[in-house]
Amino acid sequence: MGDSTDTLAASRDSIKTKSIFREYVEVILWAFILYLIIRTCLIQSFKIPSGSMKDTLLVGDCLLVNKFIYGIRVPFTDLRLPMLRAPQQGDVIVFKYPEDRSKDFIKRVIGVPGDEIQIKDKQVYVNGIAYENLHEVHKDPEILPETSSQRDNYGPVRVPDDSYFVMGDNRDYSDDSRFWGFVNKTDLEGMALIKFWSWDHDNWRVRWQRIGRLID
Amino acid sequence: MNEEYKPSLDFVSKVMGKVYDYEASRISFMEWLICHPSIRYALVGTGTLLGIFKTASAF
Repeated sequence: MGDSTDTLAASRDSIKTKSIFREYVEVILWAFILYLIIRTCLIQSFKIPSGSMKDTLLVGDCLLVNKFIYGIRVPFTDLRLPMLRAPQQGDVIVFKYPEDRSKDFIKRVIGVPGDEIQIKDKQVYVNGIAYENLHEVHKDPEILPETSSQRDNYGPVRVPDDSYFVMGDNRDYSDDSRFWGFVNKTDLEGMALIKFWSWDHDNWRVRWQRIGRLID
Repeated sequence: MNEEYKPSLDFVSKVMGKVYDYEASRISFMEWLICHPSIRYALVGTGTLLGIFKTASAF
C-alpha cells in the first residue's frame, strides 16, 4: 500500500515537472515569435556607432525604426508588401549598405526617383534648386575639387527609378550616395522614428535631453 | 432532519475555504510563483521587449 502511494506521488510530481517545463518552453517560444513579428513588421531598434548623421544623431543614440511605412519585407525573400508611402526628401531612412548588405546604414533622403542631383562647392541642388536642410552641418571649411573627391562637387546625376540618393547630415564626414551610388527600393529597412536612449561614451553619462525626441 | 444537526448555510464555503488554505500551505512561495500564469505572461512580455530593444548598428 505504502509503495503504491509513493509511486503515485512520484508519478504526479513527474507530470507536474514536465508540465511546468513545457509551459516555460512555450513562454520562450511565444516571446521569440512575438519578437520576430514585431521586429519584422512593426519596429526595430538601432544604435548609432558613427558620426555621419551629426548632429541629428550622435554616437551612442539608440532609435526605433518604423518597419512598415515603406512596405513590410517578407523574411528570407526580396518580396515586399505595399508601402504606406514612398520615401520623401528629408526622411531619415535605414537601409542595407549596397556594397555590403550585412551592414545597415542610416542617412537622409535627398533625391527621389527622377530628381537631378548636383553638388557645387558643398551646396546641394535638386532639380536645379538649392536644397537647404536645417540639420546639415559642414565641419570642414575646405572645399575639395571634383578631381580629388566627389565630396564637395558632384554630378549632375539623375536618380533612377526605384532608387534614392541619400546623404549624411554631417556632410563632410559621411560615406553616402556621393561615393557608392543610389539606394535601391529593395534595400530599404524603414524610417527612423524616435530616440529612446542616448549614451555619451566620452563623458560616461546619459544625454537625457535627447531621449524621446522625434527624428525629423 | 433534526434541527440540532442541520449544517449552517455557510458550511460548504467554510469547508472549501479550509481546503483551499490547506492546499495553499502545502506549496512554497517559489512554487506558487513559478506556477502562476501571470508570471508566464510577464516573462513573455519581458522577453519580447528585451528582444525588441536589442539594438543593431546603423552606420
